[in-house]
Amino acid sequence: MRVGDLSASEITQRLASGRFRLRTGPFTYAVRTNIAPLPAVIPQLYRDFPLAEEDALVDFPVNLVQPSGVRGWLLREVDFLLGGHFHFEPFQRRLALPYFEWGLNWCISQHAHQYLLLHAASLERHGRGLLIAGHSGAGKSTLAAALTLAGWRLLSDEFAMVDAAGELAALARPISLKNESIELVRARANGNYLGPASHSPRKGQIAHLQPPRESVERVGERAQPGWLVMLHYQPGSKLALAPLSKAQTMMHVAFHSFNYGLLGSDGFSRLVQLIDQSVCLRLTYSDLDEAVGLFNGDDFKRP
Amino acid sequence: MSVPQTPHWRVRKQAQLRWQTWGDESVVFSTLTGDTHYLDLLASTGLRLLERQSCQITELVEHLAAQLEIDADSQLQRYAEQLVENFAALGLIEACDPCV
Repeated sequence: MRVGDLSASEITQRLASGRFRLRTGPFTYAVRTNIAPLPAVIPQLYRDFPLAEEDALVDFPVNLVQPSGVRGWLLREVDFLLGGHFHFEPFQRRLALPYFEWGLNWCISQHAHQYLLLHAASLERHGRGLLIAGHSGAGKSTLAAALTLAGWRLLSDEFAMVDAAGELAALARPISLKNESIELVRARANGNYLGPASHSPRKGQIAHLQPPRESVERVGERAQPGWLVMLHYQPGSKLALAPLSKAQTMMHVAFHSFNYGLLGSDGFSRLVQLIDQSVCLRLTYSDLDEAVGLFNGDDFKRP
Repeated sequence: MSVPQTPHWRVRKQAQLRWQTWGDESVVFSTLTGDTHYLDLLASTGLRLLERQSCQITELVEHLAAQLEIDADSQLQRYAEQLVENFAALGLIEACDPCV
């Protein structure tokens, strides 16, 4: 059964009672919440995702709840709990959606150490994976969204997940977009749902793009690494693609990994294998259409 | 531990180094520190020598000069001293008894 098979009232009931068991790739979340706008938005962002049976094993039981008393009613705060425990500060109710998405990512980054977790968007075409890395603000999610809408399969927006065999696993969760990128992607969304924008004091406007159905349906298919692109968004720049040193790329990616240090020698082996199999490139761009054209051209047909 | 005035150096005894080389560049992982380091050709040539055997800085200079076909001049001597200092600060090598 998929999320979209349930009626709105059934989804609301399941969310309110904690019986909403969402499968995203290898992980199952039991979600409990009645905080608006989640019961209205989750069914749209996650419409094509499978639901686990109610007696299925759950990786992450998460609650987003309004605390009692002043914090809940006056300050309009919301708590995010994993397994009934607080792990971080409460947030404002108007940020429920971005914090829900951020919280689901946090569960993986803190616990899913069977994977080497790299800070990169990951996509696939013809069985080969494309990792898009870069500093915050480089445009990783924007480009990942545009490529996803232009025929690439989304593996994950936030993480590249490298399994023990060195293959890239998929989550296909919604893509988080910020500020100007929201309208850029909205113009290309082509029927894919783009959720409501929330304003965060730290990050500005945040909205989430529903992943294409094909990405969700093929979430169990892994990909061989093919390319690792360090992305640089530079306003006014010409499109420029250049080879990068594998050793220096590895150091950058390791430094920005969520758990490379934790995995020790195994993390080193996996990352060496990934870098060795990947064509490492640096892309500077300012025009999203030009960049999409590049990735859909001859340079990225095969590594 | 007292260290002789012209110490010998070697990769730390408890450490195993795991290497990957692409062209003239290498990355090396130390099982002892859990850290990964980027090394250019000079640095990797030096560390590989200290992994195989203990040696003094003068021997390191001779080895680098022979392997890379460069002059064993004062510039290389200063580089080797700096290299040893950096490797020691990173916990990759240690001073040791000459006979080890």
